[in-house]
Amino acid sequence: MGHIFKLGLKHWRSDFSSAEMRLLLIATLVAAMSMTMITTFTDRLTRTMEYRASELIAGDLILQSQNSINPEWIKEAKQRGLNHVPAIVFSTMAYANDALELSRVRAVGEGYPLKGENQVTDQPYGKSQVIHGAPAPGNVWVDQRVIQALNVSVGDTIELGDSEFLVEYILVQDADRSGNFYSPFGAIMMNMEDLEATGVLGPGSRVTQKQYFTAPSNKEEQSLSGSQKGSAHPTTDDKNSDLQAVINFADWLKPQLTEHERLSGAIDSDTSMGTAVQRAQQYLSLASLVAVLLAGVAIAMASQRFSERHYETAALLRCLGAEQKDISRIFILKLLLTGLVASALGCAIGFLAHYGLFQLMQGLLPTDIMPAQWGPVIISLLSSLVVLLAFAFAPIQQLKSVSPVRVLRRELNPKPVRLNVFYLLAIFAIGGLAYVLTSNFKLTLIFVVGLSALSLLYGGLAAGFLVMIHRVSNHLPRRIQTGFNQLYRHRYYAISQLGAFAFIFTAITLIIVVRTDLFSRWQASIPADTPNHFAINVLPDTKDEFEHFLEQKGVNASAFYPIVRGRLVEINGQEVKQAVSKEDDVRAVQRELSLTWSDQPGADSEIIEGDWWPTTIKPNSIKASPSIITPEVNRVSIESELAQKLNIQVGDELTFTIVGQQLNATVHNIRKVKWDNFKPNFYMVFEPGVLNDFHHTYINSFYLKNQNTELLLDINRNFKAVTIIPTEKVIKQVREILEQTTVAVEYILMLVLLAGVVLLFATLLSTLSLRRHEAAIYRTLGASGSYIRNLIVYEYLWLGLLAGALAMMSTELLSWALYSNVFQVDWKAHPVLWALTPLFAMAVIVVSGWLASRPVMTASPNRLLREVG
Amino acid sequence: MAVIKAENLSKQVSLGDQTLSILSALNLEVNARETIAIIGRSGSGKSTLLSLLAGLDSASSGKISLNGNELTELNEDGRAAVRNQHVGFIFQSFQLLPHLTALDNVMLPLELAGDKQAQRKAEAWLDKVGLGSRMHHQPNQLSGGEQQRVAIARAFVTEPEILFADEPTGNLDPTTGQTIVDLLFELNAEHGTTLVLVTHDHQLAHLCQRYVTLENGALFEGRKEDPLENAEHEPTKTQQTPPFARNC
Repeated sequence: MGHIFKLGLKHWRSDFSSAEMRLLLIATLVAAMSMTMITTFTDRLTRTMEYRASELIAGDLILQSQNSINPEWIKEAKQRGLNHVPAIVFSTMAYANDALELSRVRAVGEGYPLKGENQVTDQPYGKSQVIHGAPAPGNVWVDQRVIQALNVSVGDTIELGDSEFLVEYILVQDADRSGNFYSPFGAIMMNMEDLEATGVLGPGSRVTQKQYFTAPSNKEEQSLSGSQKGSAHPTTDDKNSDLQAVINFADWLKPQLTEHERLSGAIDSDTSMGTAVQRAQQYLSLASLVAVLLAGVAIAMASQRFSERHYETAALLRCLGAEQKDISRIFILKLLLTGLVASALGCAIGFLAHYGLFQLMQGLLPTDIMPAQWGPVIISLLSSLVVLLAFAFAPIQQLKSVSPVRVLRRELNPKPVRLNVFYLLAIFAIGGLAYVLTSNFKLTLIFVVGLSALSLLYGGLAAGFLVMIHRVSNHLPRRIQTGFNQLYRHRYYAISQLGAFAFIFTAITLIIVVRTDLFSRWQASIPADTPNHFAINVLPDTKDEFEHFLEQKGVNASAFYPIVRGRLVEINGQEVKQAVSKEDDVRAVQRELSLTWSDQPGADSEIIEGDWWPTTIKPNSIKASPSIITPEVNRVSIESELAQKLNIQVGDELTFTIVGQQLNATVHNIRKVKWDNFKPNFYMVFEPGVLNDFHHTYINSFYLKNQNTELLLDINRNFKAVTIIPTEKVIKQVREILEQTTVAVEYILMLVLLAGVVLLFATLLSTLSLRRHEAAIYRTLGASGSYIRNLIVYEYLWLGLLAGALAMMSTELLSWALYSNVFQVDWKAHPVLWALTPLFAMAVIVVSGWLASRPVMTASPNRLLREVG
Repeated sequence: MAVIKAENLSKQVSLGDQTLSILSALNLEVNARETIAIIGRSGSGKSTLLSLLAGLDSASSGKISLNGNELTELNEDGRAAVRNQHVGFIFQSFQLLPHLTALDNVMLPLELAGDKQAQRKAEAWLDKVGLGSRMHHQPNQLSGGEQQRVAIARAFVTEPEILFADEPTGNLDPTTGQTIVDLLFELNAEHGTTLVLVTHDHQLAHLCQRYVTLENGALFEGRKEDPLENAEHEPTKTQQTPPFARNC
């Protein structure tokens, strides 16, 4: 065993620079490189988002409530030695220089923040400095958005309610940024002592009460660790033991929480990412999956070549007395060592390259990106090794069965082993890796099963194409016909190469098509006249007046929707908390919902199960008021995704609590809602009359062409209760995020393209010796260099055309499957793809083929003959 | 004493729906230290016979004994072990591994057997064949004659009892071929190896103690003292009755 290992090692060293080894090396290296680059990049970006959402919460644990927090709980925390500090968060208008800005105000208690730090600056976009503690009474820190909107600078004053405050600093970053990754509102921090004097909070005001808790030693640590990234993730034993006190407190507290309270923090992180980021992540997952699959194909091609080139070696070793298992061991060792070197090198290059990616995207991404970790690198290293072994196993098995008689008769090829079984194993391995990369079972399943099924079909389709064209080839122009005949003569290789190329082009075009569709269709879903203001808290008695006011001002407003705040508590008599598994983070059941009623489904809604209730109230049903007769049966319409998550079917009985009262309703239908249309959308829509007994306000949305401050100030003066939420910034921000993520995915797309082209080049190289042999004979028989050049170019043109046609068909099939099952996007055929894919494939294959075959075209016949022996 | 004994040896191969008989009910005995040439035209089945006698391939029927080992009763791995212990090979196309140096090529069979003295022995043999100064060269840096010397060194390095040579001078010019033949026979005499030489070169066959001719799948005895031209006589029934072998 030991001597076989030594022998394998020696062979590997001496064989290292051979062409077939180089091919395998390049294929594995590119695979490892693209996997490392994508996984490291995605991992850092994802962790940055999670870090911002869960780490920067100014404490180890946050208790938040829409009511006041039970003082007993604070007492208990104190007894357990935990530090705590309160904060109240609410939205209000800040006023200065005749300008208004809706701001998110955080009134903080003494000692805030318990963890992390606030960052401030003196002048707009100035250098930020770390500052501990909170604003002194009478002072506020406001962010850049407020500064701009109110046209103030440090040292000026602003008004919040009845009080005036001195702007002490520009707030660059609040220690607590939970759920605020892409906050559209201005931020203001003030001292809690000043809160009462402002008079902005009255009974029933919508505020969030917060209590931050930290472990006993955290407070002292804060000043030491404040400047270190990741300081809120205690990693040492001390920190862990301190954190245990927090965990124990959380365990004690959790069972006592009512539906109004929520516990979150570093222990129980809750990340809130926008749709854009989620889509970008989904897309990046798809891209990494494509990288793995491209790697698989290339490695399969390269290892087949590797195996074929070692038939002689295996035969000689057998002749000299090596047993079959020795052959397996020697070649598996060679493969492993090659894999290790290539993967390690690829991972190192990929790791360095991901820095380049961040560098390229500087300014588009957050500046404080989480540091890189070893995890993705190790996963990529192992993945590329697994891919290599999985795909190379079958060809290596073939080497074992090479007959020693081959030393006398070269034409003796080994019997084909049962490749199907091994390739099935390889597909399972790839599938497993893909799942690790994407954490999306459906995506993995469609991609792996779909592509495997298609690649099986490729063989048959490619053979069919060749036979069909062969029949009519006599009618083709001479050069084109010669090129085809050349391909037809190589049909054994051509079919496998066609399959591989079709696979690569399918992967590339699929990535391009999905990118274009996802992002362009989403961009189109935010038209220019998207409502950019919401009016909330419109009281029933001022609703008509407000509506009239908007009409007078020529504002194009949406319908008014009544809102009753309530919480879903039971499904068919079972508590919602029990119905939702711990793994499912269903935000809608953790907070109060805005409930509404309507006699019409929204224009953008689609009933997918059940039917809408008959319209009973006419005309102008939207003006429904509690005077409507309460129906005999309470009926409710539920949004489809929530219904799916909670496993709610039509006919189920739901129980809500609204201001302490219980209300039962039967699910009458399930609706699909377009959440990103910037119009009021609801999880629950009741039949008119069901919510008669409850106090309600109204909401509507409208579009203002320019920032009409005068009109907004007018609304503020005439309808004091009404709060206007400008969503212009949200829309702009969504558009910006969209642009940013598009840039990000384009870089990744370039990488996948690059990987695909490199692997394609490697695949072309695999038939180079055959071409060299042929060229040698042609040249010897008097063929000119240009004749051989034409022969090769036309053959590659045919190869490109057929591979492109196969890829085009598979892309359409796969995109249809992905859109309907994973991305939930409407699928449409892509006529442009039908023309462009074959053209693109032809161009790429001819150019790469030309480069790969150049030595064959220019070398002298004598040299070629000597080379082929 | 016979170190190689073939009884009723047959080999058929199927080509589509047809069966082609290459060797039929053939008998042969080769004694220890004997040198024997198997001659015949191209395609007469010489290489097939050699591959069966050396245990590289399995017969369709019949028995082969190699140094007391019944090859037909062994599986491929068993035959590999016999080859490693008792057999050396020299081929027309040298069969050196292109990525290994001359020294590594010679060490190969010793390394497969786990011999710890592999390098020392290989160096000694390369010296013996006159390539002491070229041992770190790769095959493509050596001439045809030099490559065949490396192959001879590799064949002898395990000190085999039996040496099979398949057209050892087939790829060499006459002068180089003569030098190689001289070396091969000199080393063979020195080490008392049994030599089975497959060739279509009658002069080369003449150097062996005896020769047999393979024609139409049957083996005909030819003696050293017989004029080689007479070798192409009519097949007789004697081919069925072993032994042809005799001590020289």
